[in-house]
Amino acid sequence: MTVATQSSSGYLQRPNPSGLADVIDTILDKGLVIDAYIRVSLVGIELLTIDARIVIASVDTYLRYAEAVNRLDLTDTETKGLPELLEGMTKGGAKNKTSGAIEGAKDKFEEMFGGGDSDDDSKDQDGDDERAGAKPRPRRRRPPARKE
Amino acid sequence: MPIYVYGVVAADVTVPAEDRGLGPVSTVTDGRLTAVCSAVPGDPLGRRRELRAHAEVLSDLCRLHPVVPFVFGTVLPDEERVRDEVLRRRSSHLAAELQRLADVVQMSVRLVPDEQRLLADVMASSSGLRSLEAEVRRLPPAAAQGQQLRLGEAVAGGYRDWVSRLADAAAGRLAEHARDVRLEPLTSPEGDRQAAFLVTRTGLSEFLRAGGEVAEGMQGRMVVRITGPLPPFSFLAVEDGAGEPVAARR
Repeated sequence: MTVATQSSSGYLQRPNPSGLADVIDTILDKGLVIDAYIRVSLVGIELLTIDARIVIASVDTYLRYAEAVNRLDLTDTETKGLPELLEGMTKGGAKNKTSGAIEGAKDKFEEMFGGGDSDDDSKDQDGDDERAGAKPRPRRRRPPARKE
Repeated sequence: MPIYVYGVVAADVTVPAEDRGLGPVSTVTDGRLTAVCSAVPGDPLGRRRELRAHAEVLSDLCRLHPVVPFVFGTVLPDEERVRDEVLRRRSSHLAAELQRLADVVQMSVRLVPDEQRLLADVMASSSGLRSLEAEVRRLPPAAAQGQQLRLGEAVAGGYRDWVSRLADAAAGRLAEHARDVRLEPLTSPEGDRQAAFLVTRTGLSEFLRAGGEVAEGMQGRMVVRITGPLPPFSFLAVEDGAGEPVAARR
C-alpha cells in the first residue's frame, strides 16, 4: 500500500498500491472502537467478507487432494525435504536465489469489485460503479476460523 | 455534518488537508490530542475509495508520527462530540497509547502457499504416501474409493503440516526484527497465513530485508506479501475505563 519501493525480485511482494486486499481485514476489524451506535452502516461489507474462511476438512477436500497428487508428476519435480528447507530459510536463503516470476496473487478486492484498473486513479471512479460491479453475496458473519 | 474519524495523533502534528476519498482531511484538537477527521455526508460507507482513504491517511501519518488508528467507519454526529467523546473522555488512554506505540508501525505479512509445489514436497517426503498413491493408481476406480479417501486425508494432513511449519519458520524469522507479532487464524483452505508485526520505524528496512530472505528461502513454495506501514491496528491495548460503553476490539 505504501512503501515507495517496489521489489520485483524473487517471491517477495513488497507493499504496493494494491495492498488494500491484505489490509482490508485489519481496517475493518482492528483499531479503536468508539461506541458502536455511532458507527454508520457500512455498504457492501458483506461483499468484503471473503468467502473462503472456513477451513474445511471434509471428504470433498480429501478427494481433491487425492486427485491433485494423482496428477503430480513426481519424477519431474525437484523437491526438498522440509528440514532442509527450513534450514535454508533461517540461514537466509539469498544464496539459493531462484529466478521466477512473482506469483500473481490475486487482489481479492479487485476481483470483488470487478475493477481491474490501477489503484492509483481510484479517485476518478465515482460511487455507483463501485457497487454495480460487485456480485451480491449472502451476508455472513465470519465463522470462528479454526486454528490447527 | 457528521464527522468521520480516522484516528488520533498528538496535537503538535501537522496533518495535511488532502482529500483521499472521504473528503478533505481536517482536525479537531483538544489539549494534547488531535483527531484526524473528514466531514462526511453520512452513511453508508464502505466503498473501495473510502476504505483506501482510511488506510492511506493513517498510513501516511504513521510514517512519521505515532497514530492511534480507529476502526473503519467511525463517525460521530459533529465536532463537539468528537471533542467530548473521543478526545476528552479518552484522553488518558489515547495519550498513553500514543506514547507506548510512539516508535512503531504495523507491517502485515501474508504467506500464500503454492499448493502444487508443496504437494510435490509432501509426496516426496513420505514413502508411505507414495505407496498409497501407487495403490490408488493400480486399483480400478470403482474399487479405489476407500483408498483414495485415505490418501487424500493423509495428504491433506501432510500439506497442513508443511504449510504450518514453513509459516512458523517464516514468522519466527521475521519476528527477530519485530517487537511483537500477532498471528491471524488460518484464512483459507489453501492455507494462506497472515500475521501482523510491530516494527520500529528505524527497523523497517531490516524487516523488509528479512522478508526478502524468507521469500528467497521459500523458493516459490510460499509467496510472501508485505503491506505497510500501517499504524498499530492489531496491537492496541484494550481500554480499561470501567463503565464506559467502549472497548478496543481485538
